[in-house]
Amino acid sequence: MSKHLPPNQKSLSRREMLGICKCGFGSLAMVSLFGSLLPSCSSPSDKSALIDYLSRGPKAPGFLPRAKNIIFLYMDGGVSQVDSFDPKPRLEKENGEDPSSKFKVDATQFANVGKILKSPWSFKKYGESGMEVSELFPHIATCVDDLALIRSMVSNFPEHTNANYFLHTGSGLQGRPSMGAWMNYGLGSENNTLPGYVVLDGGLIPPGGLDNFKNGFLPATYQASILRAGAEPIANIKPIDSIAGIQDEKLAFLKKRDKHLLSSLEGADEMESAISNYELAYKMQSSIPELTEFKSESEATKKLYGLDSENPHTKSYAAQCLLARRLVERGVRFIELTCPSIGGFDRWDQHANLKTGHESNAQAVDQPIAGLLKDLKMRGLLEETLVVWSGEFGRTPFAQGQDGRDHNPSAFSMWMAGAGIKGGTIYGATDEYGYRVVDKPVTIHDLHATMLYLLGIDHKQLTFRFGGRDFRLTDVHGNVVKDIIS
Amino acid sequence: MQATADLTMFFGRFHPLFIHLPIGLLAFAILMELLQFLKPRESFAKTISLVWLTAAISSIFSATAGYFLSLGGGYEESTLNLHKISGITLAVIATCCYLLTAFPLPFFIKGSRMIRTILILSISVLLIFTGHWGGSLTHGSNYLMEFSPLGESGSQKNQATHTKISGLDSADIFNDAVMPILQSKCASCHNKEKKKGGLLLTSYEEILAGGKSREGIIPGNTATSEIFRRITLPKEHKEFMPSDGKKPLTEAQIAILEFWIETGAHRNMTVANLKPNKKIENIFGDFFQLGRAAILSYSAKPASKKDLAALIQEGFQVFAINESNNLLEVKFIGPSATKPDLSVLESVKDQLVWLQLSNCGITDEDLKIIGNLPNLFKLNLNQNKITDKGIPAITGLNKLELLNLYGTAITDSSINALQNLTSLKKLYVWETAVDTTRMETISKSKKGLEIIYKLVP
Repeated sequence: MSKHLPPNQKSLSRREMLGICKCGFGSLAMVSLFGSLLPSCSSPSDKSALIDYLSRGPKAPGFLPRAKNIIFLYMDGGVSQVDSFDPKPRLEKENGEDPSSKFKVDATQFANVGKILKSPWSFKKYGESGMEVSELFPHIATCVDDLALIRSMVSNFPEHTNANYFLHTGSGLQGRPSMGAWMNYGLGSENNTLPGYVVLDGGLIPPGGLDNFKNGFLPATYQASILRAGAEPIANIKPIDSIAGIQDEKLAFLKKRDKHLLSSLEGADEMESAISNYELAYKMQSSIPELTEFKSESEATKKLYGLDSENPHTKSYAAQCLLARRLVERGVRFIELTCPSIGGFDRWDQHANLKTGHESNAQAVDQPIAGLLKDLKMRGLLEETLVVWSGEFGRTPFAQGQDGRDHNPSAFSMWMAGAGIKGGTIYGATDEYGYRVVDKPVTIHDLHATMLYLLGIDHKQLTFRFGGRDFRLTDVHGNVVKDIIS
Repeated sequence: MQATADLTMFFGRFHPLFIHLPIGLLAFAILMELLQFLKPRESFAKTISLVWLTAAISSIFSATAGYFLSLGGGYEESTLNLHKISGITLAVIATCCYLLTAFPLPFFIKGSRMIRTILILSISVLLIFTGHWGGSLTHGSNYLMEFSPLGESGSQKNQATHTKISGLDSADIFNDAVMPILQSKCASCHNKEKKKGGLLLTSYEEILAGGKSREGIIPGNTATSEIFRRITLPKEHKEFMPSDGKKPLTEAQIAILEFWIETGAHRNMTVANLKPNKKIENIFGDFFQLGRAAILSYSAKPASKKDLAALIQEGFQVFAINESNNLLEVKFIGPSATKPDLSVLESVKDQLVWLQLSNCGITDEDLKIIGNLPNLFKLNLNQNKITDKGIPAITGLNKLELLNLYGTAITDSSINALQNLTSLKKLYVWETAVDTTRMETISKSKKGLEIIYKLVP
């Protein structure tokens, strides 16, 4: 475990560090980071290092953290930018014409380039900012003054699996820590009865699988816990032992044996993580049922999210969004929502049947997302919660076959809302077809750097030594997109 | 005529490049002479005349180019004359030095050594002054001393006014926004010394008057305002300003100038009086660094270990806001945990700027303790059993910018009391007993205070 002693924190031993972490699944990196938040400790013996830290004099100049939590609304499959947030009138005019006579067409995933395809949906201006949104998202459109829209996103990969790894971990290859893991490593969790990184599984685990949500080389405590939609969000969440005392005794015995083993190993990351995972799992037996119980929510709130919807997918995504808010209230650092599984359509990945496919997907997520934004806003939670909406890439402005759109990593739209975000901003631009970015391109690394910045972390400082070098979420890249930050 | 003028100008433009050659060579020659004076060396004697020769030739070359450049005009007359005369003198003396070194006067003429010494000393002095005058012509007379600890600097003054501004109602559009922008992006060429294109941008009158071609600013009309036209041309356009690849104005700076001209190019008028829309308001907010400035300018001594330990013991979560100011956020979130003893908070009242006590059974009585925490910027008291009786206890928190009271039992009378909070920017009162139509009127009348009170469908 000496492999990742962060720099400039020699005064704290590894043992002391874990002392802090033990009582709140705190961060290993925080002591060396600035702008950090620190978890509290419940047991007096563990808190001396924390108190030392807080009572020390001025350190390096920092900046104010704007966000404490992030809700990542992952639009699996890649939403078409020209059909959602990036209107292109020229597609209408040149509908049905040959795209290669207009611009250079890159090789596409399925090499089935059709004609230029106009958007089946019309756009309208909304809000004070006059941001244009298509008919696909009538509810999100009512929130445009809280959104910062980036129309100039680019990805490095035209294929789902790699693009997913890239979006989630900053690397197109499998095995790196997910951004949620990095953020918890950097800041720690504020809640010691729930994990700091939660994925709310709507039914679709994205291509690339669970490796999108892993801790990689970071300690195992930082990986995502996946909560399923439905009655039992986590397996075995109901205690099997009918008498609480018996379970306590069993767990205490296990812990004793584990600690014994741990001391003979002189510390092993996997072992330590396993112990803390057991402890957390035990606490979750009471925190999870309380969390997933919506009894205390008013009817108006449920309606706002669309929990009363006739569409089962809207209903299911609404439950996830409401759950996300409840997790934020409880101090969970990073929450990702995956898309609901809508039979017949493969996520947002409409290689054919663009109209029906995108419409079904939009119908499932539109109202719940708008409800989430409004609910967070009314409760003051949007002050410190960053909501991020993005797919892994965009889609082509020309058809694949007759009525689909192929993958397009050269341009896509995403938005952020909430903590520190300058609402109503439109950043960057694509060409007249929405095919390529022509102004202020934003890479996935830039996105990660911006998210970390909003959490009060300098992305260049958040490192972890592994395999002989310091790794970062942003690798050697990343520029904070300051123009969208208030 | 046009062709020759272009050629001389073309040659003249090389002056800033050439000039570094004679400066270096002359400095080197002086150094060699000094070393020779201290301890004569045979090897030096041979090379020194070559150094003088190249220094003299490059001086003549640079002076000629400089003369051609000066024909183009646009420089402040008196400095230009000083620079011209001293530059030419320098070239002449350098030539003399070469001649005296290469062809020494007969030994019987007395004082030949003395003449050389005087010439070399005068070169040393002239070199410094000529260089300085040249720099003043190119970069402006305050360029050298701008960041000196000795002189009073223009940019520091600008920054001082920058930080002083606390809101758009105290920001003067011309003096606090327009002038600093023009100073930073235009004044290096359009100042009293240089006056490029006959345009001076150092006072209100001069800015409106403009330069040789037209009036600079026509109040109310961006299309005919020459300054605005020039800065918004395509960058490749030959009339685009700032010219010569200098840093162009940012989109925000252009928007500020546009707003100023369109609203009548006032000389003394606060930004708030000009009724900017939300977008422009944001631009000004960023420009004056409003919003977050207040908390960043506050700092305290670190809290004592004993006090922190007491807080944590009591069950509070304690966070450092950032590393530089020792400020703390303290959080306690219910409802499952029992309410902590709030009296321990007073011991960290200097450091405590954010306090979150959501949904944890806070009562009117508790607000008296919270009212004694004068450095709070953010206070979350949502979902507690707070009524109008408790609110007056916290109306003295004059730094408070955000107050969250959603889900409490307060009514309109609390809203009246809370209007005493002078710094308040955001107030959350959703799901309380306040009257929504009244909130609407207050929201509209109170600029700078956002009240979040009802769900917008």
